Amino acid sequence: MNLKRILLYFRLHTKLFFRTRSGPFFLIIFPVILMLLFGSIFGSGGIGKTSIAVQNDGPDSPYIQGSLAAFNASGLFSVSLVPAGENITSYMKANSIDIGVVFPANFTSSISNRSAVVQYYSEPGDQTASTLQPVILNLILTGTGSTTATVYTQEVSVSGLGKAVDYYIPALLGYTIINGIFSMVYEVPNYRKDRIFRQLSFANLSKPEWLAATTLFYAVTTLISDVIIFGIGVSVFNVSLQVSIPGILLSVVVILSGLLLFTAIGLLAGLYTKDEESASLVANTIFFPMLFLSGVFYPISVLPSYLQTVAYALPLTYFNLALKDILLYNAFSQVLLEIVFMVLAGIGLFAFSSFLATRKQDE
Amino acid sequence: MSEIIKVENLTKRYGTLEAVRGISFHVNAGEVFSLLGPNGAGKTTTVEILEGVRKRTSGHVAVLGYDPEKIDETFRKRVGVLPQDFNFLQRITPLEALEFFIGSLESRMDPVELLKTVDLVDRKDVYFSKLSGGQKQKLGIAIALSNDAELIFLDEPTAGLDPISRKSIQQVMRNLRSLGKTIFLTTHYLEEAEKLADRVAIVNHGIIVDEGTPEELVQKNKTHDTLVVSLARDHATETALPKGLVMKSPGVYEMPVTSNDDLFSVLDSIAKSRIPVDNIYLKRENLEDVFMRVVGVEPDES
Ligand SMILES: Nc1ncnc2c1ncn2[C@@H]1O[C@H](COP(=O)(O)OP(=O)(O)OP(=O)(O)O)[C@@H](O)[C@H]1O
Ligand SMILES: [Mg+2]
Repeated sequence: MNLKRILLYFRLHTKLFFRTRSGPFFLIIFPVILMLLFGSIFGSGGIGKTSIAVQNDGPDSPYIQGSLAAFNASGLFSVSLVPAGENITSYMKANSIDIGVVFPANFTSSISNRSAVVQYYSEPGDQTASTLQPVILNLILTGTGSTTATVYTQEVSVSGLGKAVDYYIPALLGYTIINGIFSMVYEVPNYRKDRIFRQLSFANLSKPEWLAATTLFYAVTTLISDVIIFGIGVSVFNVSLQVSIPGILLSVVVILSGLLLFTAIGLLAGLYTKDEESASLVANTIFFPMLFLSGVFYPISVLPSYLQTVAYALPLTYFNLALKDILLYNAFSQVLLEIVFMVLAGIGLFAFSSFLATRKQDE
Repeated sequence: MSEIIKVENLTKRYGTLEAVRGISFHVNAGEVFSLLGPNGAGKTTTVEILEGVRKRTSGHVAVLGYDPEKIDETFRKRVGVLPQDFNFLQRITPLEALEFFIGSLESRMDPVELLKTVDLVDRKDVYFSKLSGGQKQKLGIAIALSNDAELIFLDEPTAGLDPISRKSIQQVMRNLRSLGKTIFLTTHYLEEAEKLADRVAIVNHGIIVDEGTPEELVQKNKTHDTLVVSLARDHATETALPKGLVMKSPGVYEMPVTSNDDLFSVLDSIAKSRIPVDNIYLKRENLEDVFMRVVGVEPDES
């Protein structure tokens, strides 16, 4: 491996990449479109009803029933009832619900005394939640028929809740990273067919050097796409991710180890692909199941249990989990395992592919 | 003279097909060596084994002292290659391609000079995919020259080139030879081999059927010269012609010439009979005739 040659080819590859129309499109414009699309669908406000979690810590009463009826009748909310005794914060996190309302044990007795308190759980700085707070208060007053009573809200801040759009940031990063598979599955058989590898070998550029330069290229371009997604998320949609320096650094490590793994998968698939027609079949067969089952577009928990088993067999799942742990929950501890898994699997697949590549060289 | 390439009992099998069936030859430093043979004879297979692109099935091969299956980076700096089906990155320009090879092989050649050599300067900034077939081929030749190699493999370098370009590439090969470089040339143009090659090997069905300088091959294999007599236009046939002349096409007669006496007596009688002759010439056998004869015969299976 010669670093000078790798960089020489990297520069060449990058230059040629920008001569294609589709290259820059998928690098810059497509992530922008995706992020704007997902941001507008799932960003603050959103469409349809806002989910709220409601918990009653006291006895059931007409006041409680009245409030729930008012929530439902407003058409603004879809109400999830949290059983008494369960931790509402965990419930909200698990179900991606941004707003929680808790009627304390003494609510019914207090409201009959014309003064009561409800707890309002939300992420600090969540625009939607603060806009909806007076609305919910009003609905409680109407629902309990106590328009003359005073109901105070006790604000409870929940961190790490995030908005739906937050959830999609790690997912979109996952999307950008499996894009490399597509390029590999097309490029490898094409280069073999056109005998580009042979011609490059005359310049002393070996297959491992080609691979290193190409992987470096994907690393740089993926990071660029990801910075764009991240930047739009933060500046346009106000995403509230856990952004700390260690978090960002760790995310970069996750992205790079994911890249290693997915490039290796792409390479392996590319080596088994004979021509361009089968390339699209192979690429899509790998790409779409991962996209739909690995928690990119919706949480794995909504899948039926047998599909969840499949999901946990897909490498992208681990990438998504790792990024979510970091960016959504600021939880670094289990990420290490996911990184190690991706790096080891990536190296293993690379080793296997280069063994295969040298063996296939001479057919 | 030192042997720069040495091949002994080389074989190559593709599945059940034995493309090269035990060939031996050597190439001396500083000579132009040409491998000739019909399509599928095993030329490219042999060349690619020497270049280190293909693995051999058996036999012994040494190129610049290397076993081509165990080459290092220096090998590529000392050897230039034009593959038969030369192709490169579709969106690269000739100038960039040469700069890449020069940079990667740490050569001191000037890319623009190389482009001048192959007459491609005015297309230096055009994408590879937009070059014509012959222009692509010229870029391939320039790349083969980009490392200023001492040994250059050219697998059909002039295939697909127009006559003017072909002549100029042949001149390039002559210049390379005068610089002391060794050229391993594969070609289908027999007059090209005859003009350029110091030594020639003819392969057929994976076996070398003959080998030597072009003159040696012609001398060794020629049967006879041929006298050709073509009559003036309005004389399609002529009964007064001497006996040995046989009509090959309307107005064109030929006769094998085995001795000068034969020749003179025929010419004498033509002169005497005053037949209106348009042209008389003696056709000498060349490499092409020898090739046809040598290759037309199935090689010995044993
Ligand atoms: N990769 C391969 N796999 C299988 N058979 C091959 C392969 N390459 C060449 N052959 C076969 O080996 C034989 C020799 O091919 P080769 O390319 O060496 O011929 P050649 O002398 O260069 O012919 P041409 O003048 O057409 O270039 C042919 O019958 C060809 O079909
Ligand atoms: Mg050939």
